Amino acid sequence: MAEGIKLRQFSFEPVEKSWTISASYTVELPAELVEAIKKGIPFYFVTELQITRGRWYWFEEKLIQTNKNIRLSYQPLTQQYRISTEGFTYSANSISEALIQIGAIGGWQVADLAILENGQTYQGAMRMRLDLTKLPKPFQINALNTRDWTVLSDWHQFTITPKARATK
Amino acid sequence: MNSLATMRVESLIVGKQQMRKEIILFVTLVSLLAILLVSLLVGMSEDAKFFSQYFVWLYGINLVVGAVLLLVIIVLVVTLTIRWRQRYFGTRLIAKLAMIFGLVGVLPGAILYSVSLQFVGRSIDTWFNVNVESALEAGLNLGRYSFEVGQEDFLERGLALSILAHKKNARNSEELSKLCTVMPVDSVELINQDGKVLASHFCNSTEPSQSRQYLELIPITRQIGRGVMLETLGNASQIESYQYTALYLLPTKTFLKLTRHLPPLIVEEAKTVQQAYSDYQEKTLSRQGLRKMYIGSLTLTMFLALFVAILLALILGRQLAQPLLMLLKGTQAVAQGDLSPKPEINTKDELGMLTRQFNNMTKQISEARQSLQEAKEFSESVLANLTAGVCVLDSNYCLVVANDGANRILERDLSDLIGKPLSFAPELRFFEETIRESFKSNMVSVGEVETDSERVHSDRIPDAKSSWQRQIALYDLTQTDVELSPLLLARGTELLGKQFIIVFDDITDVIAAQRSQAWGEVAQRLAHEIKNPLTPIQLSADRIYQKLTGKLTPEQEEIIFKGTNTIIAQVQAMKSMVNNFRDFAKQSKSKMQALDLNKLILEVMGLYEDHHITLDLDPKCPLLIGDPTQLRQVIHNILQNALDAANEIHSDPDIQIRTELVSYEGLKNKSENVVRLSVADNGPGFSPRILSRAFEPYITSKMKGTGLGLAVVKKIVDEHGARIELKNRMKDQLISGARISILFENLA
Repeated sequence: MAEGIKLRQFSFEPVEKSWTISASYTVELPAELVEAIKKGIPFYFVTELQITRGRWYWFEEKLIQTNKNIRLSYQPLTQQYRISTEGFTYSANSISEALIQIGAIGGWQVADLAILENGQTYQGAMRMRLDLTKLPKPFQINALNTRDWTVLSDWHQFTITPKARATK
Repeated sequence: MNSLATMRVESLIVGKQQMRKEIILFVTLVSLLAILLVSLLVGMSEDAKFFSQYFVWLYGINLVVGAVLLLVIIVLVVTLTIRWRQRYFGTRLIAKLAMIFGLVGVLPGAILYSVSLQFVGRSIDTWFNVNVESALEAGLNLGRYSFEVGQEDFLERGLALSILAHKKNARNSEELSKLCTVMPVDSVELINQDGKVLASHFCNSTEPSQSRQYLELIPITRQIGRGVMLETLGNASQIESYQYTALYLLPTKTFLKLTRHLPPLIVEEAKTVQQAYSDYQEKTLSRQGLRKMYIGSLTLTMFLALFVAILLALILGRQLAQPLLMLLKGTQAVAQGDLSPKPEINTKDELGMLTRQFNNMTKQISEARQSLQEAKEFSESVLANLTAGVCVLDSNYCLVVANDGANRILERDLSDLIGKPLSFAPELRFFEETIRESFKSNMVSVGEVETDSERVHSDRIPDAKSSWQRQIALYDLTQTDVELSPLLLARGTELLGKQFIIVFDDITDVIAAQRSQAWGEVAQRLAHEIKNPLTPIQLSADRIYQKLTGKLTPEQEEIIFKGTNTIIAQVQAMKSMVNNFRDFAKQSKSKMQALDLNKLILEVMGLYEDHHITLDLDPKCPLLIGDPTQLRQVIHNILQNALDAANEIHSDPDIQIRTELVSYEGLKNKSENVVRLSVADNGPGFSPRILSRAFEPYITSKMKGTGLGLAVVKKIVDEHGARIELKNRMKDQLISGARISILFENLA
């Protein structure tokens, strides 16, 4: 079983006035978790992003640190999966469909363009994980004891050097 | 060594106490933390956001704290066990108390724990019930079925409307609005192939839903001409309502979309059913976790209670044991002779009282010991200042103790003889033999004496059976080389515990005085008896001569004359001798007055002008109180003695007379003055036998002499309250003469 979260595609680009992330994760959950979801327990996924600049004289400067929360819940009545993020709600008819939707991050505006200066080099890191802290308490205890419940991607490290563009 | 060890032990104890304090502080902190954590954990049941956020952390910390507590308990128990094995002082008591308290704390806790464990397990199980589960399932299915029926019904009824819409060729919202009346719908919309809304009309004034879920219906509608779905409306976490959405493919290749909200009552019911189902499922799933959580909290609480109980047991045990340990240490110290006050416990309970009482006791012991010591010192000083000699001997006649008086009388320092028999010193062999013999014979006679009448006749003191008293000579006078021995009056008593005490006094002087007095009495009686017939003898002789003168032949007369003359002369001589005796014996009445000794000596010197006498008179000599006539006699007698002695071996005698003022420190640091008169000669000196009895009458070394000279001197000196001393002058171990010194203490 290839459980876990893996990054398939990633881009960090300026779109209009914002730095925007488009990424695609393959999210696969252990059967136990799928079972739990089907019982109607809401799961939370969080995508964490941080962009830092190295400073020779001090710790790294954190320029961007932002999270994107996704809620996945199953409606037993309608037998639909609901995925909601930042006010938008989607529904999916199957768990795999739902997981694909969760893994697809498109047009995530993380910061204004002005925050990153041209010509500088920045380090970035991003990962997606199952947010265990938002589970009901007894599940948290289970999560403490069993490794299966720890579902997360590796940190994706990247560097970026914004270039001056002659747009507009 | 001992004190060093004690000090080390004390410092150790202090260190231990410090450590213990730190442990207690640490343990208190951990306990407080644990209490806080457990209360937080228990408080979790109320769904506070803050707690949920840190729940996992809290749970983990609780586990860690539990582990730490367990570790501390193990460490404490192991330490106690090791100390027990090492027989560390007081461990047994502390361990026993700790065990008792621990049991008292742990046993109820364990019972409560096991009961709670059972209860938690059972009560969690009772939440889950097959009936409940199937009922919930059924409710859900019922809802689902009714939704399906509803949406099929909606689809069927909407078909007529779609046909109508096609007929009327409705293309804008105004035309669509007419369709509202045909059947109850919420909205009527025209959608193109891509899903874009071409025209729409909302029949009710209700808010239009922005849901785009209908897009999912487009493929299937394109295939079979119609499609229906149940849309869920609401935000991320909450469902607000449900609506039916039906899509019909119109011949114009556009879609007609109809929506209708479900009645709020049904929505509510559906929501309730779904919520209940979800909750139940969640609980079923989390059964294990729940159980773990409750049992974990319980176990942690139990551990905490256990730990606190054991800790309290250890502390309380120590506190209870401490006074006892202190008492024990105190008794050990007292046994070793340390009576200093011990630390007290300032509590008002019996334990504090016990330590205070203990200190009182040691104080009393120390006071008793002090007074004993004082009494002992007192009796020792009395003993030391006794003029009588006191010796204590053990059953083997070895010396146990002797006082200064004994040293003086036995003419020897006895301190080196302690623990040894007296005969260890050769000169005391005779003394010891005498004492042994006395004790032995005493024992025998004790055995014999039975009746009171016999006891009266015995030489001993009637009251003390084991006592004897007799007069003994210090040295064996039968030995040829011993000429002189002090006479002792000794009294021996057998003490309890087979010890002997001998008390003795030098009675040589007493005996001399007795002798002198007895002699005086005899002399007086004799003088009286002799003197009476002397005068008739003298007169008779005189008369014989006078009556027979001229009546006899000259030869006869010659004989008579010579005979009567001899009689008269001898009678005269006898008379004067008897007078001398009488004078000596007679109680002379001295007339005391202040006089100058130097002047007196110079006066007397007038009579000895033709002799070689050196005078060394101290002009500072004060006047002294005395009878000039008697003192003149004293000087005469001494000078005569000296001259006689010196003339025995020298043709040219050398006599020195000296007076001097002597100061000495008397009582109360007051300096006192005395006048010393000494007369020295270069004669043969005194033989030891004479030296001891020189002042007795009739003791003389001279060829002729009454032996009264020094006796008279002694008598006069005694009457003047002065002291007289006879000494041989020694020069290179040889006697070079004699010196008589008189010390006058009565100064004017």
